[in-house]
Amino acid sequence: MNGPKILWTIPILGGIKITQTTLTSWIATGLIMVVVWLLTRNLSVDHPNKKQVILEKLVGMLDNMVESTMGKHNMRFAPYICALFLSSIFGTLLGMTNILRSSTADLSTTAAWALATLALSWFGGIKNKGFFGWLKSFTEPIAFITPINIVSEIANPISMSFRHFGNIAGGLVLTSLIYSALATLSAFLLQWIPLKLINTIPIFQLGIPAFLSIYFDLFSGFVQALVFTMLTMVYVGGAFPPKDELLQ
Amino acid sequence: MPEYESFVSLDVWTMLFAWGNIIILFLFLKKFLYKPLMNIIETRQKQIKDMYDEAEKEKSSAKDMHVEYEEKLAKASAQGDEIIKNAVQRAHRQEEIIVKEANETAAKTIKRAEEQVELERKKALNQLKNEVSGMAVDIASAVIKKNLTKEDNTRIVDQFIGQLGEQK
Repeated sequence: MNGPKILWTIPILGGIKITQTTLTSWIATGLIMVVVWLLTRNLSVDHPNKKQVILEKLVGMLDNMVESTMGKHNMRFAPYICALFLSSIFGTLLGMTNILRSSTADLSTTAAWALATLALSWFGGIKNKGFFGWLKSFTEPIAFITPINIVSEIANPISMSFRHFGNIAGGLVLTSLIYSALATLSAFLLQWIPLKLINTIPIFQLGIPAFLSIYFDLFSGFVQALVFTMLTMVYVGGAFPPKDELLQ
Repeated sequence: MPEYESFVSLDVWTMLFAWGNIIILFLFLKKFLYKPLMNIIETRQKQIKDMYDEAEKEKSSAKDMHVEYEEKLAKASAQGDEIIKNAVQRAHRQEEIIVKEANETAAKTIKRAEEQVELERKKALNQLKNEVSGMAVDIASAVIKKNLTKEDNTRIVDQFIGQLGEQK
């Protein structure tokens, strides 16, 4: 099983590799922008049309999620959470086209996002407690568990990125395994038909993978996007507590 | 021969592109999705609040007007009562005056009529006196004209005197 194909190598800075992942990521970003641009045209205060109502509902749902997880004072993170969620969904689902490879089926993507989450939570900790206060927070509640705290801090982004990557890549592997298995089955059943034209038709590959794809790509894609953004909200929200809690 | 990354790999450039994309998307969504949408929602909320405020204001002003109108109505009613009372009083007074005047006039008229009657009586009496004296002169002349006998003369005088006595 191969990783993402390297499409081009731009020969500067020691060779910038443009992989399938990067291409999918660009297309996903562009697609989201186009969709958002289309949806946010002709917004109206008193006479919203159908698409505006749906858009407001969806953004409202996400906002509610951000508010209940991170608190009202952290609403400025809502667009970032939205960007993360949409990038994950679109990046995963674009893989279902079979032309592009899911951007989330590459550890580089999920690791980048997980490191961004880690950076945000560290930034929040340093901003609120000061650099040494933040370092000291690793020794709490007792100095004895400092190594455990450090390990868990490092483990978070690793587990996040591998969970997301593993689920999507696993789906990818499973889907291609099923395809080849069904191809073998088709060839086995059709080998008795002497016509070369007919016995190469992959009859079992039609339909069956689609149902499996609903679970492994569509459902799993949504769940992983949700889990990833949820964890991001929890970690970053924890690093940015409400102002009145800071004073205590 | 296409080159592949290994299945589990970390590529710095892919990660940089992932960061770049997520930051671009974050800024885009912030500017083109959240800002306009929040503007719309805030404007709508403000409008709704304004509407409620206006309605509240209208309501209180309507209440004020209601009270005012009720006061006015009560005042108007009281005023009406007053007017009617005054009118009735005035009418009573006028009635009294009219009746008094009528009585006076009537009394005056009666008095005048009595005076007139008296005057007429006096006049009639005078006339009668004149007539009587005339008649006496006539009789006298008649008596004189006629060849009076002694008996006639006596009779006439007796008759005349008798008439006078009857008249008194």
